[in-house]
Amino acid sequence: MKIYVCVKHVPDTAANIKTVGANGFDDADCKFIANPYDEYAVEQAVRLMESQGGEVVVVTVGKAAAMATLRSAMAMGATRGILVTVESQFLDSDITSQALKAAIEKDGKPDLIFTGKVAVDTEGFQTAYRLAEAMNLPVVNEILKMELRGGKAVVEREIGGGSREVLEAGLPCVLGATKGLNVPRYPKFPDIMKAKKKEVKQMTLADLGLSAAAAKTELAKLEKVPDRTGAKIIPGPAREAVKELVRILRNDEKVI
Amino acid sequence: MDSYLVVKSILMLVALSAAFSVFFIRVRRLFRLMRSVQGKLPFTLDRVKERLMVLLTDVVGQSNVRRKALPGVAHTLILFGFLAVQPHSLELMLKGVCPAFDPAKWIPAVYGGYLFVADILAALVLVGFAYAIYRRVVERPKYLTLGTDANLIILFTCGIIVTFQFINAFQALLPVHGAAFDYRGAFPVSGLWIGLLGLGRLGAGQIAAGYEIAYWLHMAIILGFLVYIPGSKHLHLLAAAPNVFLKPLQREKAMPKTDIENESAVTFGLGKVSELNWKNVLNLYACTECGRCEEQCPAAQTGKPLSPKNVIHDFKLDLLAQADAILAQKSDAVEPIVREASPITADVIWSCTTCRACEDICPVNIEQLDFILETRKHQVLMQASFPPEMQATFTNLENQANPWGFSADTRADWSKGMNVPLMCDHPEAEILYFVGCAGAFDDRGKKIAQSMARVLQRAGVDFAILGPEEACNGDMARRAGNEYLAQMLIKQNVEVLNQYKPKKILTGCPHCFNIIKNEYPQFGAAYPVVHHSELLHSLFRQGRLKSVQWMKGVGGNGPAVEAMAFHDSCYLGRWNGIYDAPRDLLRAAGSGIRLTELRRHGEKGFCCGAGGGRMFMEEAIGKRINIERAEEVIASGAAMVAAACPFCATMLSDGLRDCQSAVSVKDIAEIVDEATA
Amino acid sequence: MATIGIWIETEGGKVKETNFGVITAARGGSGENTLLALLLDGSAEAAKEALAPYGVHKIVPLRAEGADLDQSPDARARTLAAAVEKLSLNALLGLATTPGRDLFARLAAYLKLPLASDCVAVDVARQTVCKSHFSGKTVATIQMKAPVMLCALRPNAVEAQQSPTSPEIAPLTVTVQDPARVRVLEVKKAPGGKIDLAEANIIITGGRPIGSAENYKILEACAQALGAAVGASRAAVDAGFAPHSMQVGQTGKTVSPKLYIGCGLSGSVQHFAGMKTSKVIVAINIDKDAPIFEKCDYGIIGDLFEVVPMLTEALK
Repeated sequence: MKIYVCVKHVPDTAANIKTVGANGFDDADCKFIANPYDEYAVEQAVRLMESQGGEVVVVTVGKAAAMATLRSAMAMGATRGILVTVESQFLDSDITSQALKAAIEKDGKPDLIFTGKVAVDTEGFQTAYRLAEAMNLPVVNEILKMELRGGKAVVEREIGGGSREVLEAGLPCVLGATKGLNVPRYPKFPDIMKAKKKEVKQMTLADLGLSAAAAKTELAKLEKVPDRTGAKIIPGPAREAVKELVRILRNDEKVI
Repeated sequence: MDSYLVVKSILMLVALSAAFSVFFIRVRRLFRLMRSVQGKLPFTLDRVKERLMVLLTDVVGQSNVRRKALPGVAHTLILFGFLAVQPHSLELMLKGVCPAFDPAKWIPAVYGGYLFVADILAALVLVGFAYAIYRRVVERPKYLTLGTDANLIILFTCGIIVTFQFINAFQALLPVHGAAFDYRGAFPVSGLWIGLLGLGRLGAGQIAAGYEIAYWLHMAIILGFLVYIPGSKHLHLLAAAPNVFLKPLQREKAMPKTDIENESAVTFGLGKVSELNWKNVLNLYACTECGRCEEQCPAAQTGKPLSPKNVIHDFKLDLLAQADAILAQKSDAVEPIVREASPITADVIWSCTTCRACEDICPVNIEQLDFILETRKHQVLMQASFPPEMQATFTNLENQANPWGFSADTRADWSKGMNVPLMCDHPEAEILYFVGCAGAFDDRGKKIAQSMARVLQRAGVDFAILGPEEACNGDMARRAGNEYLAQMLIKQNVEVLNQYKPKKILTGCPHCFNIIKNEYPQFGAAYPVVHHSELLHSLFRQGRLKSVQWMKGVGGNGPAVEAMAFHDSCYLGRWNGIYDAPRDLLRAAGSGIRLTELRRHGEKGFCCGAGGGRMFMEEAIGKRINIERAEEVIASGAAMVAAACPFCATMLSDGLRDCQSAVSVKDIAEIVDEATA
Repeated sequence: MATIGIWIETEGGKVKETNFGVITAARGGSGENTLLALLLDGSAEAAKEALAPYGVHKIVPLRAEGADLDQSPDARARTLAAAVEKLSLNALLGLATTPGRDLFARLAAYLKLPLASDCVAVDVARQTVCKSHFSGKTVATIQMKAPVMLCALRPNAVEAQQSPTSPEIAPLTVTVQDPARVRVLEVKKAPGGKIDLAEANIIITGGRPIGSAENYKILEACAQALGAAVGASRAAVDAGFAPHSMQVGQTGKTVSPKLYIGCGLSGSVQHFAGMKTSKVIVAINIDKDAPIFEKCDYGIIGDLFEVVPMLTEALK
């Protein structure tokens, strides 16, 4: 099987974000990791490769530093990588999906494409869908269970309130992975070392005939959300404090 | 009679040649096996004079063995009695081959004196064994291996002594010819058999026969034993003294630095017994399964499947079972240590808290930790096999340089509003206070760090912290087998330390203290390191800190605390020999304080359960170690227990809380803070 | 003066209350926009009754010829897409619930239009949206530059405001080409009754100190009295006290209720990422030094096992 996994190099959610200028952030001093949801995607792809044979190719669109995320995916077992370099910190999802499509099609014919459910930095929640539509492939996102049955992918996703949908999609298709699909493996040390030498094709947006200027969205402003301050600790013994709290919530804040 | 002597001579010659040959061949094979294992150990024989002194005190003086009173005395009796008997047995062997061999004729005075003493010592062996048998039949302590091997050894040795006595008894009854040595009265104890059994009433022929029977029995047993020794745990006869002679002379221990950058290495850590080094193997040979390590082990004592004794024993069995392949240098044919149906299971290797109680108590200085930690290294690096809950910890350490995944940027937030300078702003500070992850992020640890900072400021100490430049010291990762991650963290800190070249590093946590002091030099950063108990105590001695008030009771409102216990941290005490400084500190901080000792304290201190990375692992088997320790604290009657480690403080607090106890836990820094405020 | 469509999400035939906020967002400041409520399921009459107080001008139940809307998510999206074109919408708004996010993403990809998902604010006139970037640490203002603005809003992000109208019902039938790429085989319904966490207006969450799955009953009793949903912290889920579907936080659900009551929560950054935008945060914790007390609006220092039952009592 030839499986492609789209991954993204994002700031660690634990990292502090320092905004720079009107719409940028300090990405030099920030710890970046592979998008956590993408790890479920890579793990699923590698497992399929281990049982069915073939290769797993990880693709990413990002700055040069995104190479690190490709290496960590390859340490988990991906065969090789493709890095489409861009100059800016943020890239519109439409352009991103076009770049992924072009890079994949330039490389080979996919049997399956995995992505993470959403990127934890821009939280756009649409790249997988755009990629699928551009390649005229089925897409199901937020899958937490998957199996191959008779040449089709049968998957499950949660649809709210604990209910689940079971869907079927023909191959090739695009599947967005979320927590619960599997437990991403911790790489073995020899694999981490081997990953440093695995092949990574590099190209720019321009090489694929694309330009970031064609984007139909623009990040106008990026502002830090201040933490709330001035917490009021309601004093007194529990019973009194509770009575006072109910009064505040009912009469002052009017939330109950 | 002459023909009998000829037959005896021939038989003895054959028996001796055969027995000694077999013994030699078996020992040689063991020696070769020790040389054939592929593990590397950089070793130079240094401080020979000191080592000889150690041999004198520990082997001759049996000082280490006698740390356990009664069994220690029994062993001393057995050892010396057994040794005492050997020259006479040897004499009898040689005389059996060549009757002309007769030291009694050549050096009668010395000979007589020797026999007299040897006979008494031999009897004391039986006294020792009587106690040993009592232990095994009546007391039956859990940690003592009661198996065929042990029983045979007891049988053999007792047999040797008893037949020795009978030889002597009959010898004393044999007619004395002319100027020959008069054995009558030569054996004060063996002679008693004569009276007891009325041997004197036997006829001359019966006496002669009795002598010969005793002789042959003795030879059979002793030569049989000789042949048996290399295959049994009694191998310790040969291996113990060398192992003690070659033991590491300093208490401090650094984990070996695995060369993970070696591209040609096919494996890291200990995956197969063929990867042991010769010193490991000598350790295995020296073990006599006395079980003292198991008795001290916090895991074994709380129902975990880990027993250091069993680890050593199982490694030895595995090594011997695969000896052929190892001797033939066919390492591919050697099976991995952790394999299906192997007694070395994941629960065994991961239950260890690395407290070193086993290494400390071992009478023959076996280093059990090396086996466990190197096995962990292999499991993590090569198999990515470790308790699943550690994955998040490892990932957090990698991404944010602390095990909980808090933002590395916020590492100095604990000191907000306290005016604590950062090293980058104040690089000439006299002391670099290495706060550690617990001090920076753990709710309990932060309070300790804040107390430390206040106390240092009060004493006018010029110090600074690294803040966001500080990464986890790497101890938990290293002891949890993740050598790659540990080296990454260590190198990160080493780079920062070498940039500042601190005059002195102060640590608030024994784990930071231990690894920075003993293992960072492996990576090129060797700076003077002091633990906060030592520094605070020196501040008191210098008069820079004065105790103004003593500890208020629990909650700050009660009467002053009078009885306090101190919980020895493993990484401070057994790993680095610091037992007195924290106690002296407590006495200095609280004049009139009554320090009570917990039942297991000092070198025998009982671990809190957090070491070896276990702070971040689930404890699902047996009784919780921290509860075991909490119960001990409660039993001591102390109103408060002091700790010198944020992990100990957390484990003790949790344990005491789970026991619904009102006993409070404070770090020594907090106590000093309150006392000098 | 724009024509704005609002996709109305229903559950069990009922219009979800969280739709009302979206309508308010669509109305914008001027109140001059024409608001069309688009239904893919549910009864138009019921929708009219529910939505009239909030200012929709037309209820448009959509029917697709040649497509099974229950079986094919693409068909649903294309039905809505056809409506966007047929009704000449300037903008289409909806809820960024799990079904909503999926629907809008398919729709946007099909129409090749930009989409802003999980927004906390929208300005249809200026074609800008505000949404979280970096798990709630920052707010991004995004300028959309397309003929039709597509925006899915975080439930409860915009407070609903009444503005009664008398909408007419105007059904619309469209022809849809189902690419038949994805098919729903079955829906496994969870035992109902509980308010969905992601859309609840009031949430009460239990952290690790809850100690057991059993003890969540205490919170459930309080939730009943409040009309709230019950959530769990990651630590509680990891300890097995609650299922992952109850987890609030970075790796769980992001919620935006009016009132968030955290019981036995330490206040970790990761948890806050999931509920930062709550209007009022109340913390109940036995440890006076717990970080959550610095980040909440109101706090009670006490044992949750005492305080929560007292709260339940006081609410009755």
